[in-house]
Amino acid sequence: MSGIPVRQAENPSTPTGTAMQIVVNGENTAVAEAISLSDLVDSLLLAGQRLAIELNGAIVPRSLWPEVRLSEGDRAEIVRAIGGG
Amino acid sequence: MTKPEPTQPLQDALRIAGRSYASRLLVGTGKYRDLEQTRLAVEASGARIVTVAIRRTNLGQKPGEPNLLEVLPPDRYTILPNTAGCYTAEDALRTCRLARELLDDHRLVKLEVLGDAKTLFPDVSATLVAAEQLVKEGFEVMVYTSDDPIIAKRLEQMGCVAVMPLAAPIGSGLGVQNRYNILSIIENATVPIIVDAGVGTASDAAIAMELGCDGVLMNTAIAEAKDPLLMAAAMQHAVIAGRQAFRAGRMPRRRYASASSPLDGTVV
Repeated sequence: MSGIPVRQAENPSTPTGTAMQIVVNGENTAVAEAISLSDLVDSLLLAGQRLAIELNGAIVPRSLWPEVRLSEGDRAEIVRAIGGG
Repeated sequence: MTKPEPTQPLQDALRIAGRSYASRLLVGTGKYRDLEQTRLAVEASGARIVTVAIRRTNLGQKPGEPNLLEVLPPDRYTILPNTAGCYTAEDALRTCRLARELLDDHRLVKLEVLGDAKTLFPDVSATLVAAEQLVKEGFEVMVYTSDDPIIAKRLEQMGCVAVMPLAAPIGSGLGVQNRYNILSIIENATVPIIVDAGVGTASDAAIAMELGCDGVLMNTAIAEAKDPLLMAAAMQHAVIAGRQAFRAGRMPRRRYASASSPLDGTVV
């Protein structure tokens, strides 16, 4: 995969009532059907953190996270700032 | 976010993209033992501009785990997201756009497009492509490049707000390898020239500043010192000393001695 250099993520906890597969940071992830990006962030225990999200290659502004719904096979990249030179 | 720095006018401030910064030392935040050491080292360095990398969030992260931007808050430091690890212009653009979103329409970025994992030398042609596009998209681009005066000038003409030639390979600690190229870059420039990468110890930073660089950006020299906090302080002094020496104007070099004490009135 091109793009942001990766640090391998562990498998996130799977929310209950899962119905579809998406890919989050390169990891296959089961989530509830039509979950919103906000819900995804919550389910990954990332709420309140300073993040940016790219969905299928396009950045989704934070203000739109509550209304953007995910579909089967979507690819999300969730990034943050870490130490670097 | 790119915080407007000074409330009062600063003496001999570093000016980048219309903003003034009290320190000419810029520091990276990688390679530290933990976030607390990062915070203390940045503090000891006196730096106002700190670089960060943009990476995938660790999904296994426990809630409440500290975040870099909590220990280095953007209202206190100017955060300079970099494109480290990018080997194509496209990846660098993508990283900058993510950083802009991450930091609430932040424009100031450090562009680096690498050409080779062994040397981490920049891919200059890809850097030019990325720089042009980023400027077009409204980014304020501080660009890491080779110590090539022609390329440095071209990047300036493209609209980069600072040009940052390497002193030596990233993380090498070899010091300024090509003083005359750096000097040529400085002489030709109308934007700040910041030596980025390759500084190993305080004298290296002082040399860069004595050449007339507007600033020095470093990470490994501080983070990999036995005592990073002490080295951070040393670098702060070195950058200040080098800058003052540059402004003072050094004496000419002479091959032979020139007595410091007057010869008149000697008793012998």
